[in-house]
Parts: sequence; C-alpha cells; structure tokens
Amino acid sequence: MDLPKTRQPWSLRLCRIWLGWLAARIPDHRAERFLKEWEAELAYTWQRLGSRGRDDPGARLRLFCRVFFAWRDAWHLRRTHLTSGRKRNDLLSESTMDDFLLDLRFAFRGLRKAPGFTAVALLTLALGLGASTSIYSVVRGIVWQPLPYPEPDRILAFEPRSSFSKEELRRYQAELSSFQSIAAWVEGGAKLLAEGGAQYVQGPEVSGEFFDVLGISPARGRLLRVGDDRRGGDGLVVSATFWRQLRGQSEGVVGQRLPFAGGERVVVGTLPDGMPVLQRGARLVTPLLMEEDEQWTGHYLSLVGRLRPGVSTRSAQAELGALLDRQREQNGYPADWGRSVALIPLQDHLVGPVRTRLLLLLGAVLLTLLIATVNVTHLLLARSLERQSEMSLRSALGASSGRLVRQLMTEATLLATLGGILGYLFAHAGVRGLIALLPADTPRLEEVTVDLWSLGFALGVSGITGWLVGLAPALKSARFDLRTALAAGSRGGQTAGRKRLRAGLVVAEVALAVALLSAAGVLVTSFERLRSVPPGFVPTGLLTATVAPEKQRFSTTEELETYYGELEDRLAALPGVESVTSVHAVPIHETGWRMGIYRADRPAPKDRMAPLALWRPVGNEWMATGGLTMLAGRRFSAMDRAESRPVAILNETAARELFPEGYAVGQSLFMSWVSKEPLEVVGIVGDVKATGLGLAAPRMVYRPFSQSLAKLLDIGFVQRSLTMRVAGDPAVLASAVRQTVSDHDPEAAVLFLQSMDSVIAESLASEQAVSLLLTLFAVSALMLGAVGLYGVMESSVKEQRKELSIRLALGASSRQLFRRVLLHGLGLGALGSVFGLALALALGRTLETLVFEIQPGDPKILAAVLGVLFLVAAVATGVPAWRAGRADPIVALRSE
Amino acid sequence: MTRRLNITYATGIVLLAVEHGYPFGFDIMDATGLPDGTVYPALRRLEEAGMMVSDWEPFEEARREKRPPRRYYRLTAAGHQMLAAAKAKFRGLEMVLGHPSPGQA
Repeated sequence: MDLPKTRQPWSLRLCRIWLGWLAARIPDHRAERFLKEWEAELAYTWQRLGSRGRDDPGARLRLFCRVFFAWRDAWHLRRTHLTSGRKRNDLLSESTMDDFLLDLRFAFRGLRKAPGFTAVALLTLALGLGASTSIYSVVRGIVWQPLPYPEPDRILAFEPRSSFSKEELRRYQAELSSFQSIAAWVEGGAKLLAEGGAQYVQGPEVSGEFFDVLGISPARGRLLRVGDDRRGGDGLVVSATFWRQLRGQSEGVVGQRLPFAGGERVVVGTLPDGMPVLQRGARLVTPLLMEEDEQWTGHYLSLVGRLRPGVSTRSAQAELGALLDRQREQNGYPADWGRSVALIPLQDHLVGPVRTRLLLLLGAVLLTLLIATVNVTHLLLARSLERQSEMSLRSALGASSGRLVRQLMTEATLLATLGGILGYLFAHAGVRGLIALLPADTPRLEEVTVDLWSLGFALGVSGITGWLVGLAPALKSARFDLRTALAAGSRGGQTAGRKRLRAGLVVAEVALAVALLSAAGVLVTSFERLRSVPPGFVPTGLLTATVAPEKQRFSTTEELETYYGELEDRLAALPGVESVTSVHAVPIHETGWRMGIYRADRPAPKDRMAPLALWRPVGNEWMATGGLTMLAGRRFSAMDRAESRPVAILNETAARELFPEGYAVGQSLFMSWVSKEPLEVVGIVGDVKATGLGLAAPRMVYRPFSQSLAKLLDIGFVQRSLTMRVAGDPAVLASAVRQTVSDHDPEAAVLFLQSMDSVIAESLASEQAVSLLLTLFAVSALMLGAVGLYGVMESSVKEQRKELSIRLALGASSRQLFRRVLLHGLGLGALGSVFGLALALALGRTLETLVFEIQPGDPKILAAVLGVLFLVAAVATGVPAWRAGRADPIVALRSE
Repeated sequence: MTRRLNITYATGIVLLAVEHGYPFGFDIMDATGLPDGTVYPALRRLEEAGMMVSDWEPFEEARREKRPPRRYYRLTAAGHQMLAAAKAKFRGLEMVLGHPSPGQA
C-alpha cells in the first residue's frame, strides 16, 4: 500500500496481519496470489469507504467480518494443494493449519465413543468447576471487587465502629491533618407516614461531610452537605429504587416533601443506582444533628475519613496514635486506654473477618477440585490403556510423538472446557445457594453476581485442569512403540512406571483429603465450642420486640412510663407469657451507647474522655426475666424512682475494673452525660456477652428505666425493646405481639421482633456457613479419594490376576492373598495420611485467626481424622482384596 | 486442471454475477448477498474447473487511484454453458441479483 506503515489505522493493520497469517499457511505460489488479491480488495474497499464510512462502526464491522472469512479461501487453497481429487488420511499429514480443527473433531468423536467415561469425567469436572466458580464469584463480589467510590483506597474507617462521640469527631477534624475530611454516620432509619400505618425505612444518619468523604455524585439534585446537619435541616437523600417504589417513576424527585414521624422532609437529591452507603439495605440518607453546642457525648457514632492527597495510611495512623498518646498522658488514663482505636481502609473494615473465611473456602474448594482432577486423570489413564493398540499403530505409521501428545491433550482440554462451561452454568445455581446460606448481614452480599469474571475464571481454571489431566496419560502414551505395546499386552498392559504413577496420584489424593478433613474438623469443633459459650442470660423462651412510637406524643416522662406500663400489662396478658420487662438494647443484636465512667472518689478525668461502659437502662425485672445471675447486692425495685437517689448495677467486668479492690456495692461512680449526680452501686450482676459470644463481655452499667426516662425523652429516643419470657416456642407469639402493639398504638412501628435463640443463631451464622461448606468439601474429597483408591486397587488386582492365581494354585490361602492386597492398599492410605498430616499442620497457621479456643493442630481432631480415613480406606481396599482372594485360578490361567 | 463440478446454487449465482458485470471478488459478495465465506471458494472451484479465468486489472488504472491492482474474473465458453444450465436448473436465478448501495464496502 502507499500509506507508510505508521500512518495506517489500526483496523487496517489488523486486517492485513490476519491476511498475512493466513497466507503463511498456504503453500507455494498460491500464497502470494492469495495475499495480493485480498489486499487489493481490502485497499479498494477502504478507499471507497471514505472518512465518513470509516468512522461508522457498522461498516468497519462488516469489513472485519469479510476479511475474517478469508480463512475459508485459505483453507480451500490449502486442501486443494494436498489432495488430488480425494481426501487422504489426515492422520499422516504434518500440516499445521488443519491440525487443530482435526484434533478437535477426533476428540469429540473419541469422547462420543466412550459415553460412560465421558459422562463420569464430565460430571466430576463440572461439579468441581461449578463449586469453584461459585465460591470465586462470592469472593470476588465481597472481598476483591473495589468499592464503587472514587479512589476507594484513600477512604479509611475508624475502628471500633459505633463507639465515637460527636465531640471526638470535632476533635479529630480539628487535629488530624492527614485527612481532608472526616464524617460520622450511624445506622438508623425513619418512619415514613402513610395511610395504613407507619413504614420504617432504613438508612444511615450522617454528618455533613459524609458524601465528601465517599466522593460520590448525585444522580439527581444534590447530596447532603455541611449545613444540612444543623438544627432545622430537613434535607433527605433517597435511593432511586426507593423513589421508584414509592411513586412508580423516577422523575420529579427533587423538591418533593415526604411526611415522616418527626416532621416533613424535603428530598434534595437521589443516589446513583445501586450505590452503597455503608448501611446494608439503606434506602435513604438523613442528616445527623451536629450542633456546636450539643452536649451529648454519647459514644455511638462510626467515623470515616478521606486522606489528604499525598498522605499515606501509615502516617495517618501514626498521627492518630500520637494524638491518643497525648490524651492518655494528660489525663492519666490506664496504659491500655485508646489502644483499640485504629484506622483501616474502609473496604477491609466493611468486609472484616468474612474475608479470611471466604478465602479459606476458596482454598478448600480448589483443593477439592484438584482431587477431582486426579480422579479424572485416573479415568483417562485407564482409558488410554485401552487405546494402546490405536496409539501404537499410529506411532508405527509415522505420527510423531509430539502429534500424539497434542491429540491427547486436546481431548483432555476439550473435556475440561466442556466441564468448565457446564460448571459456569452450575455456578448460577451455586451462587444463589451460597447467598442463601450466608448470613443476611454479610457485607456487600448484594454485590455478588455471576458475570464475565466468573466465566473467565471457569474457563481459565478448566484450561489448567485440562492441561493437568491430559499431561500424565499423554506423556505415558506417547513413548510407546510397537514392540513394548505387544510385550505389555501379554502382561495385561501396565508398565511399572504407570503403576507408580497411579499409586503416586492416589497418595496425593489421600493427602489432600486428610488435610481438608482436618481443617473441617477444626472448624466444626470451633463452631461447637462457640455455640456453647454461655451468654450470661437464658435465651431459650425469650422473645423480644423493639417498639418505636412517635416521640411527638410524649411531653412528660409520666406519659412515657404509662405508655410502656400499659403495653407491658397487655403483653403479660397474652397466653403463654410468664413475665414481661424492658431493655434499652437487645443483647448481641445491638451494642447500645457507651459513656465514660469514673469513680466518684477519684478526680474527674480531663477532656471528658474516660474509660467507656455501655449504658443499659432496663426494667426492674430484667435480671429476673432474662435469667441473669446476681452476684452481689440487690436488683432494681419499685423504690428506685425518678426522684430517689440515682442507682446503678454494674456487671462483673465493670465492677472489677473500676473497683479492683472489691466491695463495689455501696460505692459511687459518675457516668458522663447520663447523670450529673453520682450513681450508687447497689448490685453486681454476672457478665452478659452483649457484643457477641466470641468476644469478651464489655463493661456495663445498668440503670433503672424510671431514672433514665428524662434523658431518653430529652434526646427523643422513645423506642424500647420489650422482652417476654414465654412458655413454649416464642415464635408462635410473634403475630400476637404485633397485634397487641398495634392495638395499643397504631402508629408505633415494630422495628425488630425475634426470639433470643434466633438472635444468637444469626450471630453465629457466618461461622456455621463456613464449617458446613468446609465439611461438604471434605466429605466430597474423602469420597473422591476412596473412589480413586478403589480404582487403583481394582486395576492392580486385575493385572496381577495371573500371578495371584499361580500363588493360589501353589497353595496360598485366599486369606493370605486378601491380606496382601489389603496391606498394599492400606499402605498407600497410610503414606497419603502422613503427607496429609504434614500439610494440615503447615496450613494450621492460617486457621488460627478463625477458630475459637482451639489449636488447629489439636491431636484429638487429627486422631479422629486418621480413624475416619482408615475406615474408608479399609472399605475401598477391602472389596478388591476380597475379590482377589476369590479369584478362580483355572479361569485366570486359561484366559492367558 | 479440469474437474467435474456440480451446479450448485452458489456457483450459479457467482457465474451470474460475473456475467452481469461484477468481475471483482468483493463486488460479487455485495451483489449476490451470499455468505462472505462462500464466494471465494466458489470462485476457486470455478476457475479450477475451467469455467472462469482471471487476471490482474490494468496497472495504470490502479496506479492512478493509488492502490494495488485487483483480480478480475471472466467467464469462459464452458462457463457460459454452465451458467445456462444453472439458469435452467434454478428458475428465478436472474432475479436474485441485488444492487449494492454506494456506501457499502
């Protein structure tokens, strides 16, 4: 062409490269003619297109298609060179272009001729690849996929969540120069008023800087900003789905007013579709009141911040650490104060412990896939044995060993790719199953999809699998020559090398299965231990309902007291209810609010930053109804009224830490914000695992509701969790409870209604899912290993038939033969177990962070695993061994 | 080399196109609307069977337009005979030919 190479547009160059490659596949003079002809047509067309046509993607695509199909012409030119009117046996041609398609055709035919083998192999691979792709999709969606915010790795979260106060936010904003903005948020929601009752809509309350930190732009209108979080700010941001649900269309959102309990709000903007805002299932975002003169120092906020450009996470962490050090010194706090505050990337913070568990599952499923691959390799080896004669013939007729290897590899790859495609299809169901199995509050669960990444994974892994599966049989087969094949035929066909290979594969399978079983055993035991941690109260038969009335209807504490008193009486009248009481926050499900505490007989710490304890207003019967253990002093009673002396009950941990010398009862403490007067300790109660069974019990300060109503009314937090002890199954009463609340107050929303047993179960759902899945993989691995062992022993016995029969004829007892074969098989199993144990111990480290009160190398578990393996191996070996003992010597000898 | 060639629809159309004044490969593709992969193999078979001959177009024409010369095809006498047989075999063959629009490649 006349255009210099560098000036040619890429489409043109691509076409020319393709034509050049095709031409290289055409022999002799025809190549040059082909190339010149096609290039001339291409050039003519390109010119005719003109500049306008070239920009049209449709025209370009048509041209690409046309040039692509030049391969048909090239193909024809090649074939007419080879043949002289009739097709010849392609097995002997060394030409490379037909080869791949030819191999593929032969591979298809080969698989079709052996439907049994194909079905088993394909199913095994499809299941293994399907399970792997499912887990991969989940891991990618939750752990690896970056958050949909600009530069998401510049957003850090303060840990622990829900434990910072507005005051701390202001301080950090002022003193941490590493951040360009820091914001606070708290999980919440709003009651939308509508005919038919109030609808509780979930969504976080955020300070004005929130959307600056996330960095997202609105789909419509604007997002909340500083200024919206002042008194009188009635802005609201909704998700597009919420608006569509509400009004059926997404137009005309901005400026609309929505009636909420607590006042009307104006929609100022909508979020882009599917944009997460840190609270799961959020459909709107409301401003958090951040008044400068707000006295409230409750520790219940979560903080997030965006780093200033050029600042690293490490320097921000150092700056925070230095700030906390300064405060610890100035106020004389204990050495461990503030040590739990940390900065981590937002994604890690959201995903948290789930990451390790999911990665563990991914590793386990890939190991299981590996075992399945070995099994398919066994099958392929067995089959290649049968095809030996075919292979030898082709070898004798001149097909190079490289050619044969390629043929066999193509077969294996075809099998694996088909398995991969099937696996990808299985994965759609598999992912759905996983999503159902995982706890509903798993972070980012809604972002899990089966997409092109999953397909890429399936095809990629299946390609590797095919390569692995095909390698061993192919290499073994290709080295055959005719003589060896004929000689081997008289011996039943297995060379020593092949036997060693199969034995080695079985040992590998057993090793992997043992490792998986150990891991599963450890996790299951850990889960059982976690489940049996005493929560500190009696959850069975305890039903809790969080009721949220409109705060407008209460102007005095008496009204609040009467309201809940009447509701409690109504609930007590329900059949099966033995006692009713109230609590401020449901244990394990909610944390509640932390305030600073300090002894009354010591000086107050400066800066209003003291060790934190959970503030827990409770009804007087909470200790009794909940089944908590009183350790000292008394419970709350009717004599603790609003106007009497403020009292408190400490939990064991708080009492021990605040009054280490003992005798806490009778002493006094201050709790910031809760009361200006000192609180007298009247009792000590046993610890409740309020933040989770696997965590240490937090410090708790219980207060009677009668003495807390003023504060609660002050801040407008009029909701309460009513807790009932029920004879029989609490779930039965659920609708009756809802009805009772609705009868008592139609405008009250029931935010949460569950039995405490299910609250605890849900808190363990994640661990349960992992141990369940891992057990599934381990059992699959064990079964696959057993099948592999059985197969090897079976063929070993078959091949040794002549030898065994001779022994029988010479007087050996069948018992002896049985023992011989059994020991051989068990020996393989034992060798595999040794490797497996080593592997398990090595991998044990990674499990440490996941398990509760157990050592991954726990000898009892390993012993149990070995026991199970011994049993399975005995059965898998026993059957062929028994058959060996029963071999009829005459029949065996005659068949030779 | 001459070989026996079956009269198929595709070969009939290609012969018709060349007779009707579309001597170049891509033009035949446009005019006949046949699948892109069918036309050139048909051209090759027809040429190998002696139904058509081909040559490079005159160089001056191509040089003037600053592009390489295209290969054009012509019917031989045997080709005309084959075309007549094809028209007899496939009624309505004539009507199949479309007209390529100016902007198409």
